[in-house]
Amino acid sequence: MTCQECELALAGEERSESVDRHLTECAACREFAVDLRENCEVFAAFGAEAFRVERTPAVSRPRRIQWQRAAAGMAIAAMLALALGLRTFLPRTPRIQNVPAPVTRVAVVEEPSPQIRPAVAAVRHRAPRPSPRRSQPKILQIKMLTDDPDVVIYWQVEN
Amino acid sequence: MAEHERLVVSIAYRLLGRMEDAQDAAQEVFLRLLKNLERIEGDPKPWLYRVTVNICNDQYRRRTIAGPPNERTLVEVADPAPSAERAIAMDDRKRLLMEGLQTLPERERAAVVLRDIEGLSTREVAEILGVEEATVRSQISVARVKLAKYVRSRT
Repeated sequence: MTCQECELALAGEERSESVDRHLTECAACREFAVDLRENCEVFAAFGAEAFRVERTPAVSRPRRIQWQRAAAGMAIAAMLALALGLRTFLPRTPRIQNVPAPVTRVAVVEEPSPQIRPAVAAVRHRAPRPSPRRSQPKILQIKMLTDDPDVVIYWQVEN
Repeated sequence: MAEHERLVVSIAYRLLGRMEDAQDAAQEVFLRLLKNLERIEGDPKPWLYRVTVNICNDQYRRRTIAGPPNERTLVEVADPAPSAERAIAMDDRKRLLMEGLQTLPERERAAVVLRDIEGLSTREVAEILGVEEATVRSQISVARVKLAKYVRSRT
């Protein structure tokens, strides 16, 4: 019998005459048998050990699932933060405000310009009315200046 | 339930070598138990053994071993009159055997844990692992030899 065969036989708790004979001749296998016995004692002690179980497995979820949820939450939070950051730092397109600019000054400027009058006259000339000719209306133009120099409001009042 | 919990945690700890992983595995086992509660008839122990071994094998494949097992979580059963030298030698051997268990192939590791630590019979181990009794006997013999050589090479 070889030492390898003897070791397997000892580990398998198979005792035979050939194993015993080999053990009387081989010191290494005798030591191996002692090691096996001691390992068995330690394993038996393992079985007698008690464990403190601090968590209730049925209540709490597996850590892997918790991590997956946490990762999903963090991803959503990161996307929101990115969106807010882009909104804050990217240049905005100028908006046209619907609120009229506040009127600060009102002034009567001048008589109507000469271009307006011939146009009106021309129109009237094309469609003459049978009624007697009225006197030419007097148009008063009011210029209103605002805070914005580009915005000027004109009022035309016909007398 | 507490008894089953200890059983599952202790097997998972022996198979995985780390208490954190053992508790994760135990949670998974009990979640599966809750899902399959209606299907299990009689003593749930065999079912628990089988599912624990399967989950631990899955978990073992997913992770790499990172350090020795955490012995702080164990409560040692008092030896009636241990001499200091013997106690130290036993502690060393325990640590080395735990390390050695992690070096075994999963089938051999499961067989040794169930047979030598949990004290199940060869037939019970064979039923749990779904193999023949002769296969279990062979796996246990080979595993014991490997463990003895592992311990000897480090002492």
